[in-house]
Amino acid sequence: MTSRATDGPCSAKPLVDNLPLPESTINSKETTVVLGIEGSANKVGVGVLRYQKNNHTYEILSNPRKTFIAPTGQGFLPRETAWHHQAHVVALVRTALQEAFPNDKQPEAHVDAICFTKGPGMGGPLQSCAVCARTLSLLWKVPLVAVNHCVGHIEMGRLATGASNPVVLYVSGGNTQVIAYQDQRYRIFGETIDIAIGNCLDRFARVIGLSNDPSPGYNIEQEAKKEGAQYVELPYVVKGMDVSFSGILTHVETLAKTRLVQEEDSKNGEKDNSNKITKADLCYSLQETLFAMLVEITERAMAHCGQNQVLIVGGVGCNKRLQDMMSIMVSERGGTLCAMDHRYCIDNGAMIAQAGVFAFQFGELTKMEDTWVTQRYRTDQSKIVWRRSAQWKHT
Amino acid sequence: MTDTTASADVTTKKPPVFQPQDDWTLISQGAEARIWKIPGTTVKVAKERFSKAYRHPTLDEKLTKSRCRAEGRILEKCRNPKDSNLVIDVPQVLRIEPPVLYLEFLEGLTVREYLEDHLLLSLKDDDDTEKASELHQLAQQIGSMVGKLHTLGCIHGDLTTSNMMLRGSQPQSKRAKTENDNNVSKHKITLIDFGLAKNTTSAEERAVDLYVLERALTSTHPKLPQSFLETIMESYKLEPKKAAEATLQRLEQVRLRGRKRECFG
Ligand SMILES: Nc1ncnc2c1ncn2[C@@H]1O[C@H](COP(=O)(O)OP(=O)(O)O)[C@@H](O)[C@H]1O
Ligand SMILES: [Mg+2]
Repeated sequence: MTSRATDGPCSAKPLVDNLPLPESTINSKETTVVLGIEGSANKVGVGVLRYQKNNHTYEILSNPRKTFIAPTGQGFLPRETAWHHQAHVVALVRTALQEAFPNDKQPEAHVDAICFTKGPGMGGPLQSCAVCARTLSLLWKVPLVAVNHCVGHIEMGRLATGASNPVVLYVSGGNTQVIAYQDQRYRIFGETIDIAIGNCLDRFARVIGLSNDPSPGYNIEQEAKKEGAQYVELPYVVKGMDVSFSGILTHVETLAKTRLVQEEDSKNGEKDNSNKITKADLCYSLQETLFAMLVEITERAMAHCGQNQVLIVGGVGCNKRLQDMMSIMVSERGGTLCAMDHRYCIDNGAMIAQAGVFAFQFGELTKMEDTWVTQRYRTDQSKIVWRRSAQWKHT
Repeated sequence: MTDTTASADVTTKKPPVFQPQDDWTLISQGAEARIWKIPGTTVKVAKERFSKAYRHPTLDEKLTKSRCRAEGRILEKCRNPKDSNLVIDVPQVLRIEPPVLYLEFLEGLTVREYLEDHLLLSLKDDDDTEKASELHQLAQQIGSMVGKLHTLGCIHGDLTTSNMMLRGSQPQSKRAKTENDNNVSKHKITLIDFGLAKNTTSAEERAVDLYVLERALTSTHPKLPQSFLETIMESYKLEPKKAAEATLQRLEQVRLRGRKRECFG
């Protein structure tokens, strides 16, 4: 699965919260090119990004990616995922460079820096990509920039949508956070107190035997759309701006084991199905419940920070029902929901390049000895040096 | 068809459709409720939980109504506990008509406003001993209030500084002349917004309640000194029950879970 970059250059002008680029040799060049490598979960991607000084735009020149898909009934395991990334990352770098500079014999000569994901994520896969980044840095004699994965999503989202200072809902396989910027940090206002939303959906998909291709969440969404899906009441757990999913998961798992309609039952007519639930019912109810919780805490954060723009990032953000619910909430508040976009929802190399190039332009390089990766790297741990330190006003 | 002509006793009848009057003023429009100020000899507020079009109608009705009821019920429990040592200052409940709750109006600022507009304003390291001691007192009040609430067998569910008010406190602008009245100790801390509150005796739930408070404090007030939180926890522990110990131990685990959570994707 290779995605081709067809998106035009994005102007950085709407990002009024960004600081002007400091004077430096790198920033006096007409163009700056960086390569971004991402591989924190089951996707490995390499993106080439170019900054053009004359019109202050950033453009994705290429952004190929490969996804490791686990067999039905299984999650992706760190070891196999690491092997997958190791097997593909070099070819992806080659493809990315060729696609970015098609007629160039030495496309790597354009690259000014290499950005890679430092974390959070799975150790082995992260490590595999970091090794590639270090090797290329030594080979091409260009500096390294370590990037927080979530900051990558956010910066690509800001640039692609022109939303300068949105409340961010970050929803993926391993993360569930509501984030707002303040004082050079992306601060976490709400998050899951146990498992992540994507993890909850994936595990449920496994219980009812849905495939991992293209993703378990996608298959739950399709199942939920089936006609006649009935709403079943599930627990609903919101604590301030935090949420908890594990109790809900246990509850639906039990329902699935005890009350799910079996294929044979429905063939034998409807005689004893009054107390039974279908897969579609469960998928539908699970989505309705989990997403209502997410929208609720996002709205709390908006009210709390006096903000009216929302950006959803991370793989679960691709879910159409979540987008619709969010969009209703946001429009009732007179705000805007940023359009969904593959460039910042699904993990890819270009988003790492995007956050990385900002850091690079502000002189934030990572020394070789500091290029270790980390499974735990909270969004609020990295300093956002390229944004003004202005605070939001409370209402 | 129900008869909607005005008559004497509203409590025995089906509540009329909620209709704010012309002389009511909207003082807050939050994420799920509007707060109306109702003028009169005793000023009141109406807290109206509105319906959310984004969620399933069954879920929506369940949430708006159950939160309204829970809020009313637990407010009353805090005001009139069996053990009078555990009284917590909360607004008086006047009427519960889900999804609307009528409460006593509180004159004063939220703790959030008081912190941002006064206590944390240009707070330097250690030169301002007066503000520092006020912060200390405020933290003590918060800690012991939450301690009582938990001892009472309740959790609040949304412990933030917007959900605490200081009766009688005034905005900076109106306050300048009478600076002696500014002290936190003169204002009674009052807890509001019990929509996510519930009765529970679980240490885990109490710990999460504290965790929410801790996170709300650090994300909303990054300038708040670390000692503020420590003081809260110390005062929380002074409350009579051994349970506080268990809760704080549990809090350690909840925090660790947060930091150690596997994050990928
Ligand atoms: N009884 C009251 N008297 C005066 N002001 C109040 C009262 N209740 C709430 N408010 C004000 O309205 C705001 C929102 O009320 P709250 O009950 O917290 O609802 P929400 O669910 O919207 O947070 C509070 O932060 C406070 O400023
Ligand atoms: Mg509130």
